[in-house]
Amino acid sequence: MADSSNDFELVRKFTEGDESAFNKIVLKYQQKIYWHARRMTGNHLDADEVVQEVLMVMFEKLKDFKFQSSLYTWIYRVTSTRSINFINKRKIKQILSFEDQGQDSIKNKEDIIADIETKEKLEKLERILQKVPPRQREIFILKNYEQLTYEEMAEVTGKSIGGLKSNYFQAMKKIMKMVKEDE
Amino acid sequence: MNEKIILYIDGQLSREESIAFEKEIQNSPSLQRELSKYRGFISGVKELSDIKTEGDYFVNMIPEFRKKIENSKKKKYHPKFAFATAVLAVIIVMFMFLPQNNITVINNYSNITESDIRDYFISAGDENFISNLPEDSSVKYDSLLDGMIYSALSPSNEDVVNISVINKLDYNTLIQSVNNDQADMIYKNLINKKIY
Repeated sequence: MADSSNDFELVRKFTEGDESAFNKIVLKYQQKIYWHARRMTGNHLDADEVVQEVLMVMFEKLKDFKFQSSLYTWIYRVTSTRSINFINKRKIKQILSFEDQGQDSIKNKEDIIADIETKEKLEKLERILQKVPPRQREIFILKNYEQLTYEEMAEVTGKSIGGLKSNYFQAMKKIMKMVKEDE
Repeated sequence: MNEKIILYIDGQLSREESIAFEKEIQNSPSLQRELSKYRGFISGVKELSDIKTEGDYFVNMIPEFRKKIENSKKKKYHPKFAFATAVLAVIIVMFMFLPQNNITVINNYSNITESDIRDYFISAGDENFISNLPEDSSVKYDSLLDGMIYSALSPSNEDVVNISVINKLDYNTLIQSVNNDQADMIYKNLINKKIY
């Protein structure tokens, strides 16, 4: 997990009115927030929306943060929750046809990834991951991208280790099936 | 795909189960291929955990967020508040144009009865006036109208004294007390007066 040695100090300074402390916290965690949101939502534009929401939550709620968990864990939890809420809202919009299927290709055009080969690999994986239920997707991301242990994942998600193992198994089964079909 | 591979790679098999599965893999080329594919997929995913980005997205993240906060502070328009205000305005306008009660317009005053007058003031909501109405139905309606005029003019005490001098009884007393000479004098004065 991330180094939390000066997180306490930064939060304390921000609570006392030092706005630059908030900037330092964001600089420290912005990559993790973005990539977690990106893997959950599957494209840059949606991830950017989630990032802005997460920053807003941090800005408003950080003053009440009591360090009952690490700041890193809390930020991950906020990002996960906001991402899942966003995915659910997006699904509802798609069902009600507020957002047509063509939107996905438009969203994929706008990106921040420099290397085309990497971008293609990522898009392929993102397409597969989008077919996995969000809660299972979250566990897959935390385990394989963030390389968290089940204990750490339990802290982030608030779920039991047994439940997480089961979710991961179900996610992997679906993903490997889709990988096989995609070949 | 053999689901045991997922449990094996994830370390969810017991020591005995792992040893038994490893033996199974050694004896099965198809299991070996599946295991290799699985490991390749996982390592491919891990490679994608550190991607180089282009542009100033991360550099601009904080300035963009600060701009958003500033905009939200300036933003006075609150959709819920605006909706509530609009609804309130509509309700007020409706109350302004809706008749408060069914007030009947009376055109022929000669046909007014006491119950009409009572109904009128009840519908107009003038409870004070109703409570001051005489209970005796034999009272002439003129007196009711006098009462209305009296109430409308709100005369002072001095006015009341002057008015009371010229009521019906005082007028007769006054006429009787005037002698012929006084009557002639009054007549002469009146005949020379220009009355418009």
